[in-house]
Amino acid sequence: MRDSRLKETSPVHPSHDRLSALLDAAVDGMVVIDGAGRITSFNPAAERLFGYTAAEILGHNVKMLMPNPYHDEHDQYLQRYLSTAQPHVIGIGREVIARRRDGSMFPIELSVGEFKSGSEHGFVGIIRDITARKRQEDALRKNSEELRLILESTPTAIAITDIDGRLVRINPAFQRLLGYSIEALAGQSQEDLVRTLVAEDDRKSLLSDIHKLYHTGESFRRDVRFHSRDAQEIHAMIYAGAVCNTDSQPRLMVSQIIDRSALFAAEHEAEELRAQLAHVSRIGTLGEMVSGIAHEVNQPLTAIANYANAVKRFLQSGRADPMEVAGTLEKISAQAVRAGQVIHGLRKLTRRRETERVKLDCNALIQEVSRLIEFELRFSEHELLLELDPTLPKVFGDGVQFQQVVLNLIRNALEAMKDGAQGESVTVTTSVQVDGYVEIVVSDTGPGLTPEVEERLFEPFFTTKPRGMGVGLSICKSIVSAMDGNLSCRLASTGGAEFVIQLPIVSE
Amino acid sequence: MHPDNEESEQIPSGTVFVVDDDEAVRDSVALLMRSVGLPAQTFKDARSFLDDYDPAQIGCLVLDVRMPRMSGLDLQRELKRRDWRLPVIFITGHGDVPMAVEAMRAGAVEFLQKPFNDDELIRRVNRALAIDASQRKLLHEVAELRQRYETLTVREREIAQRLASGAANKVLAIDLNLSERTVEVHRAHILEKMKARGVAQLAQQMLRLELKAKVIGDC
Repeated sequence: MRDSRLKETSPVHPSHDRLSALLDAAVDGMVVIDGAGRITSFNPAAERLFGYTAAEILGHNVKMLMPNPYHDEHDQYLQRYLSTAQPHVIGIGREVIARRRDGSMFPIELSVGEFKSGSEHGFVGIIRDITARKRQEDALRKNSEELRLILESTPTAIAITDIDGRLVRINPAFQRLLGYSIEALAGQSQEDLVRTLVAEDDRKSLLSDIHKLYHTGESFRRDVRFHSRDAQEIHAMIYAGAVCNTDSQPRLMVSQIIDRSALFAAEHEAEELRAQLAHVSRIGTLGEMVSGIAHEVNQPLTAIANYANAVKRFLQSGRADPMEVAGTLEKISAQAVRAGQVIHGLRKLTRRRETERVKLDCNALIQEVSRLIEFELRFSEHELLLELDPTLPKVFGDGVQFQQVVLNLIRNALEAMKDGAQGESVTVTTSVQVDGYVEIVVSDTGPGLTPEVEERLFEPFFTTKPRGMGVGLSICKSIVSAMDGNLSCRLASTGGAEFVIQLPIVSE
Repeated sequence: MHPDNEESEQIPSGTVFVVDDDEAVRDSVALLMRSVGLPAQTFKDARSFLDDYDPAQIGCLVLDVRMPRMSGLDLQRELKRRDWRLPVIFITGHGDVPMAVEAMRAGAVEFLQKPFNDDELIRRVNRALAIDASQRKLLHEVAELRQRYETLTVREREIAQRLASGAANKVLAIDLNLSERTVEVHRAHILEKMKARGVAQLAQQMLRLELKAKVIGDC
């Protein structure tokens, strides 16, 4: 029945062969209908798309290829067009949903053309399956939505700038961190942007990183201090990478700015705490030494008073020899210098100040601090030997804290040899190590350390001294660590203990 | 040499021995001594003083309490052990009370804290030198007396003791079963040998000899 109708309506024209060859070869599905909506032609591509054979579908209303609402309304669409000649789809094309033979739906792009040929009046629908494209588009949309969400919700401040260094996009975290909206920064050149946002000292190096990135695509990271809109300084780490064209030319720079102010503040606080602790411990040490140090100052003062009184008496008696007077005055001034040096060393060690990081001459600092220990040394009946390498390179750190460490180590060594025979010695040796370190070794000829003591040596509040607090060595260790160095202990060749300070050499 | 200190009217002859491990301190003390006309000699430690010093030299010690190895107190003890009676003036860097107490117990009377008043040091040095001089004079006299005493016969010594304790010739004669005349001869000999002007002076001499014996026994 269906077959006979199909044969009746199938048009027979001289151009038919050419047309059908065209239809057969078309990649897109093509469905031709007449004015009543009946399918008059159904090409192989359409067969593949819909799962119908031409044979079984020809003569049927085209609406069977449509799901609702199109299915129910298609006759009306057709009717409306025929009566009003107002096209809604013809010549426009649109994305609609089609229905396969098995009832499944798929998205298509539909273009509709109208033809009139003699008595024949119909429409041709060109159908392209856009399932793949749709899926791709969805994936892309999803992807970009994900990216947008990440960008919007990440706590990391992100800025995207183009090759000219102009801001393309910033995220809310950026706005929160630095206080600027994109509008406030839009239109600024790279230099202006850096000037607005970055602390002066850090601008030059950051700009050089950025230029390198734009030229070579090389990503970078750098510690940078930013200035927020309300003039807060923000210690941050910036990570920047380039987005490149297909020809791998950098096109955009994506910068992530990690706020490290809290970390920085915590580090600063820890540093301050260590400085305070070091100061307290230093005062404690000096407290133990104070009578000796007072004696060291008192000696030159005594000499000065005696010399001055002697000169006065010589002058009063009229027996003064000008040469002798001059010589004595010279001695007075030398003794004044001597007293001054002790006081200077003492004041340096007692002053409470911020921890410094400057280049240090370890040899000079060791010599200076050994003067403070002279008194204790004299009565300990032991010797202090300094074997200082004159070519010793400089290290970075805090001079006073370094002296504190050396002082503690020497005093510990003297303490260790307290009950020993006369003639024992403490040796301070400085040397350059091959691995870029300076080594300062304080060794004694005492009884050495028992394994139990050695194991717990650097623990806070561990002490072997009856009146010790047990903080000295643990503070020494933290001071040396803060100088990026290491403090350790080993057995000396003499059988005594040997404390080793290793500090990285400063490159000139 | 004109000492400005009136306390030392008799110019004490003697040397000031300065022992201090601090070169500037001992050098300056010596100079101060020379500025008032007192000869001074310096030593860097107790050992070199003990090696160099001749006990016959008159003088006094200006001694640092705290010195490495042998301290001032150690030296003071050693002097006492050797019976070298040199007066000591201790100088100390800080008022170390336990040390001062120990030094006092060992017989040091002079203790000066550095830096000291120059008048104070000079006054004490002069006094110490005077003490050393008079001490030596006393020792010398006692030694001489003992020599004289030793020339007495046993009988004379017995009589001298009794005379010194105030016995009259008559009583002595009866006690010793001698004639009064014989006692008088002995008495004349004793006074002559002891170079005493009378029994009163003899009694004094005997007392000093006993005192001397006592001091030696004390050591």
